[in-house]
Amino acid sequence: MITRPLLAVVAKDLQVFFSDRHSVVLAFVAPIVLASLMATVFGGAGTSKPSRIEICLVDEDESVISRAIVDAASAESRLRVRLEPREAALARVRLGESTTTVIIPEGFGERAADALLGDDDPPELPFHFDPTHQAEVRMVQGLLTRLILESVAADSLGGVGDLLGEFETDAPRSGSATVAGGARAADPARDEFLALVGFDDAIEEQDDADARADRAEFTRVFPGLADLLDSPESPATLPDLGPNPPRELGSSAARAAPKPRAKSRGVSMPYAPRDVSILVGGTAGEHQALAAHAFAGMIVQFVLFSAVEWGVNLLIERRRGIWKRMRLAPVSRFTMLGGKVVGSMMISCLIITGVFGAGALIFGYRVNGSFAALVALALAFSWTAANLGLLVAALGRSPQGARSVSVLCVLLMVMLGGGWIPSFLFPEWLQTVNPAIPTRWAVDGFDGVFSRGFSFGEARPALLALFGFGAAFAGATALTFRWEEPS
Amino acid sequence: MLEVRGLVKRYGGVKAVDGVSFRVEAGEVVGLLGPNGAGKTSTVSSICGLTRIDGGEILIDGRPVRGDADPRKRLLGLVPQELALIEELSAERNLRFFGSLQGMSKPALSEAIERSLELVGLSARAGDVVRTFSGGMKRRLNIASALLHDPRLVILDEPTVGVDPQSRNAIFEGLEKLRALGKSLLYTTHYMEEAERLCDRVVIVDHGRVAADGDLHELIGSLPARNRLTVGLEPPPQPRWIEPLRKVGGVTSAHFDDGRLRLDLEDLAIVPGLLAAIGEAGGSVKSLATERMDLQTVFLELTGKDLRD
Repeated sequence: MITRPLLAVVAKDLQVFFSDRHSVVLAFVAPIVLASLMATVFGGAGTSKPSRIEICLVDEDESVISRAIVDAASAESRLRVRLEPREAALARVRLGESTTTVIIPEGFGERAADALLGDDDPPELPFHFDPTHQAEVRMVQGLLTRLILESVAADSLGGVGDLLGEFETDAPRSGSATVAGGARAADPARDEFLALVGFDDAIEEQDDADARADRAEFTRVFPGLADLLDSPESPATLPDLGPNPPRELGSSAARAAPKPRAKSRGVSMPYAPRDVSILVGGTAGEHQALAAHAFAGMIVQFVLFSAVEWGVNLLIERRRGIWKRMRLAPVSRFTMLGGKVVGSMMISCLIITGVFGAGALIFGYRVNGSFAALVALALAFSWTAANLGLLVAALGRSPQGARSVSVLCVLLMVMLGGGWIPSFLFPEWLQTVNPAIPTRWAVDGFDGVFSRGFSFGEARPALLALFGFGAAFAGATALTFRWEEPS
Repeated sequence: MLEVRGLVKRYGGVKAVDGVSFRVEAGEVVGLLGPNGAGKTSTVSSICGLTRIDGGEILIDGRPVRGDADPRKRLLGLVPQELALIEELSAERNLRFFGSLQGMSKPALSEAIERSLELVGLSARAGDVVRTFSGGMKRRLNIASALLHDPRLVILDEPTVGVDPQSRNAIFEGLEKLRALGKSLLYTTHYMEEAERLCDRVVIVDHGRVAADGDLHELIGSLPARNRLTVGLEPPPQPRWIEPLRKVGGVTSAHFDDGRLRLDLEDLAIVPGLLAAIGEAGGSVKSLATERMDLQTVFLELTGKDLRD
């Protein structure tokens, strides 16, 4: 009884859906494009060069070990290393040009070598970073931990392999482990080291539960290293560490020819990482910076949506004949479109002010940089967004179609600009196009003035980029806007 | 007031307007008539400067309009076919916006808004949001929006499409007031009765060309007859009856159409004599209809199709 009308409703709705080409495109193409990008970002394509994180190293030690660390870091495929003086390196982090700056202090190499063998307290290794880039910094710390361990061990002990050899034992394997004479190896430092380099499973004298706990603790501190150790490239042999080749742990060769134990004190972490936020205000400052960053990302996205809707409204006005009536007035084209741009900019500025203001009230973040730069950035991004909206009106043929395509474009821009996921996760080719996306400059600029204390001068690159994008969109609009009424 | 000379407008390879020429004198109401696709809207868009013309010349008050910001554009007011209103705003806000675009000062604009709303009978709804208006009220506000800056020539592009009879009357009363004020009106429409009621002169366009241009009496006078008589007969009319009927004085044409006899007459006074002649020939009259020749007939004669085709 109800089948026929039900089918009629279904058939009608399907016909309507498929008759709107733009809706179909949005429904099918948008998820394909976005999902493909996400898949590419997370390694689905498999052929892209790995993404690289830019860091600055400051070598104030200039020892054999520090130079080895710099060389190893420079050779690391996941890092792009700049060797800079202290001030320049710190400035790069503050300006958002580098993720983190690691300062190798004077005397680091000597103290690290001693600390490795437990002869000295580990020297501090300061990581200067922007808390809005936490994920990148943790990854950098993980990578550097491995490189520093390798470098220090290679210098002090001839390689990690030799170091490990010191822990080998002649004692038969049993539930009760012994070292150097059969006594239980009650040496937490040694165990910690072996656990952190991922060979805890080879140390049969170590209680399994303890080893797992040690490793868990270490990987909590250095999450990036856990990824490295768990990766297929990290089997039960160590990477090449220099003149003394690694050997398989627990192998018969290793057991058959144990080296004499040089020292009985065991080993310790050769350095102590110290996080130094470039922000003021300690932990609270970091929380506020993260909140400001989150608000900046959302503001950028919704200002763009608003501006696109502004452009779509122009198409609606054109369809309703309002544009025709407006054009009959003795008003120049420049004035007509200028009015549209100014109106859109005012709405965008209101969104920026209102949303940042609400965020400041809720999360307590403040403008740590130049207030004039913030105002200029708000104007610059509003200008960019307004002209993007006009370009939508110029290129769009129907309000529905323009809206569909624009939403996809905005989502892509926000995604590629680092609004959703950290841009360091992108493949290298995507990172190279990142500066060509206005959202990247907007988010970076807002982060700069809120959290990194940007002066007006420091915000200038973002301002120039945003005004430039706006001008480019305006030019494209001028070339493509249809002043003629359709036939 | 307006002179269109040899206007040509192409869309791609299609010539929408092909050498159209006509004039609208000061205080004159001119109807621009034609079927769909005849080139009326293209002509109007060209006059208003909304589209670039491919040939010819358009003079407003003796001179062409140069550029978007030419103040001479204030001489024109356009009532577009679409309801060119911002539905989210009140009637008064709409008028204030369109008036501001014309560069009107605040006091002058307030006065113009009051006058325009009164002209179209919407003074009581000035503060209401347009979204709440009926179709007819929106049409009237659409007209008021074109009158704010007191233009000398008002171009109305199908201003009564989809309007109920009551609103149509209200619109017509408003337009007649405008005519009384000495405004020039260029009025495009499908409705012959509107053109007959309002227009001093009619320009008929078809296939982008002017098919006829003249006042209503001239155009109807150009037809061979003023009246038409249609007679239904029993038995059906015989071909041999046609020739004697054509010879009757005052009959300009006689022919069969759909089984009925159709006669064009200069004067209806000869109808009794014609009916008697049919009876004598053996025909029995079953139905009888007379109609006065009008613009519709003129249009049909000139273009071979109905205006609403």
